[in-house]
Amino acid sequence: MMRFITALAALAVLLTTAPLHAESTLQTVLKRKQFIAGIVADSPPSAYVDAQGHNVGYCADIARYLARRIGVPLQFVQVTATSRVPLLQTGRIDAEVSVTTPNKVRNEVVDFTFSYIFDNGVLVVREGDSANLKDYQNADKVMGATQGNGFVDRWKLLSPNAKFKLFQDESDVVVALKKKDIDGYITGSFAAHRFAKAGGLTIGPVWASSPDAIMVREDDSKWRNWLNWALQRMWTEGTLQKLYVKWYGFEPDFSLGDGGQLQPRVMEIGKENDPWLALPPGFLDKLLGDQSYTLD
Amino acid sequence: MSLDWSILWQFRDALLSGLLTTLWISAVGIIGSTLIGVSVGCLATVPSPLLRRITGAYVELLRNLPMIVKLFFLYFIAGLPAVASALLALSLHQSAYIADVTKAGIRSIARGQIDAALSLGHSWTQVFRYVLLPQVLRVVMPPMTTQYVAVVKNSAVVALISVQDLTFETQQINVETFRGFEAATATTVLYILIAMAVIGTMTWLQPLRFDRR
Amino acid sequence: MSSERVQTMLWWCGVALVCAFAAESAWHLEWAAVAPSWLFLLTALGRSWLLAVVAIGVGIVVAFPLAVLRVYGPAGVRHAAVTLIEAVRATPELMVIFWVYFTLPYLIGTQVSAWNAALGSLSVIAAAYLAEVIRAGLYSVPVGQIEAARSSGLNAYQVFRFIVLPQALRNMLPALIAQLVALFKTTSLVYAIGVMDFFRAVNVTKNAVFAPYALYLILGAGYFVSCFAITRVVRWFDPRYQLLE
Repeated sequence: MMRFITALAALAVLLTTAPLHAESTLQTVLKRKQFIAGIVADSPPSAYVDAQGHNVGYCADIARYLARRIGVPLQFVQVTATSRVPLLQTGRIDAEVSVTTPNKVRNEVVDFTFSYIFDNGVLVVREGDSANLKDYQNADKVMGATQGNGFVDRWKLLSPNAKFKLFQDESDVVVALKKKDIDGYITGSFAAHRFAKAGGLTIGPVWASSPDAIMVREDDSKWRNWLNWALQRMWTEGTLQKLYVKWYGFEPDFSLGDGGQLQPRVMEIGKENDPWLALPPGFLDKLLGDQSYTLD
Repeated sequence: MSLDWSILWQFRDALLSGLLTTLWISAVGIIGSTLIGVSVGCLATVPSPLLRRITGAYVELLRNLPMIVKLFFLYFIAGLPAVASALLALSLHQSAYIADVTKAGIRSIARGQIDAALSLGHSWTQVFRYVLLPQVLRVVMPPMTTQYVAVVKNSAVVALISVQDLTFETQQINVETFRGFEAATATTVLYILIAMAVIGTMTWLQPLRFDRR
Repeated sequence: MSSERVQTMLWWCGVALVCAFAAESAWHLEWAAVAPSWLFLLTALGRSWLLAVVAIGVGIVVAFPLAVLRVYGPAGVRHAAVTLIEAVRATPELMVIFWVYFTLPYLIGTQVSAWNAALGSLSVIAAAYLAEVIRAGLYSVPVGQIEAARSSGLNAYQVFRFIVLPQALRNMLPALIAQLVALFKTTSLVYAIGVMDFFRAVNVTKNAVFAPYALYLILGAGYFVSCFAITRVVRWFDPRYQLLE
């Protein structure tokens, strides 16, 4: 038993003193000639897996675009809410291009780019129940959500003594709502509309907006800068908006960057740390069409 | 990557409440599965073809389904409340294995004792209570210990239906602060300590005798 | 009619009733929504099978020397083996999987894919539990035979190879197969590191189409049929076996 604890302690020391990545991930990607993007499989329409097992979604297409601009092949690694941070920190993935909400505490451990998805939070209730938010902001009602959902913190701001039941999958929360184990379901509008098709649910008004951003390693400025420039360039070109419409069905109701102000001169390609290859002919059409999953 | 162990101190309340939840759920699971499992195991040794088939089907059905499936079935499909589903799933799951262990234990005791007791006019209930179980319970204590440790480990699954046990709190720390490594280490150590406590208690109980002398 | 025949008839009537009830309830579920994903789910089930079979194979290869060391080794080696086996058995399997996935790259210097980490951790778990099964098998050979063999002039190795091993292998066969069943169920935990096994595939489908009841049923049926098939295979090997675990 003591041996096991000692081994555990030794491992902890080893990991604490492991050398930080001295070079930027950008250099690593160029040297390795591959961009490894972490992506989740269970968040339609942002990042999910189709019936044949391909990674599809808004985030997947953005990752494909980014890889082409760097000029290297793309590899997807499927991550889960539990594994995404250790995978990033141990260098297994270069960035997590998915639906992670930045918050200050998380920012102590990892870094985030500009937010590129703004999910509108809604309250979903059983048909016939009140859809008035005020009715649910007390300690008698039990709210349900998925664990790690960015809206849970925001709801707690509105209602500090709220009681929550947290599940792993969105559909589990919906079943719990239907069987009256919870009174309200806090989620993003994408998930809400997907499940409302099942019937028996009412979608309440939008009450918050939760951003999602690309997650990168702490203190990796060159990589984070490049990703931010790439996102802004996609916005200037209009590609980001078109992808948004393709997957979500409406124009983005936010403006990328610092309150909508893109950095001046962001289209100028720098001499170093700024790979920006031309896209192959026909790539953009395929990306914005249905066959984008063939572009890996 | 720098580790920040102070996160464990910051979340000590959550971890403590999760630990207590795991402890009492495991305790109820151990008691429940023993009661159900020993009963089924005893029924399995009665020479009635119907009873044999029923107990056989019970054990096969429960053993071939993972704990997660039973939990989901009880909570989402049968609609029981979360804690009840957790306790029931845990008890039923382990009871199948305990039934097998009990059956093997009873088989290992001389058949002659059962025949003698029956021919003296005792009923099956009396045979079980006074002849078999006192001997069997002593014999099966080592395999029971393995089963009880399994109950503790299987209790981690109840986090999936939002029962706030140790595993749930660990995941909560992970999604809030992204400091999953520290939380996972603490949880692993705690689970090992609980397992060791169970093994220690069973070893301490070993010399107990269940028959009145 | 004899009581036995009455009871057998009662049993089969009961089974028929339960099957009819189950079929009726299952008829109304949302199968149409789930149908397009059948190949995806089937491949994932195959992946779970592959994980379990390979992990058991590697596990046996590792467990055998481990068990032999545990039983026959010198004192220091025996204690090391015990510590290793007990440490792995006491740790929740999910933690073992996490540890292997996140710390193996540091130990061997290169990155490890989730699939390989899953195989590695499941093999470690299998090895620890199988070592105990093998140890029980080795102990199950009556001491008297070993003593008789020694006294008739066979050396330690010959006793092990010709007397202990064949009987131990035969005695431990049912328990070995029970571990395969248990390991198959444990493969569901690799979802946490992103491997698309059967459990994760069902969850992913659950998020894509809202058909939870049909999918929970598929989940249960997939695992039940697989595990039941394994136990039937054992019956084919040894008709008298009693599953002791």
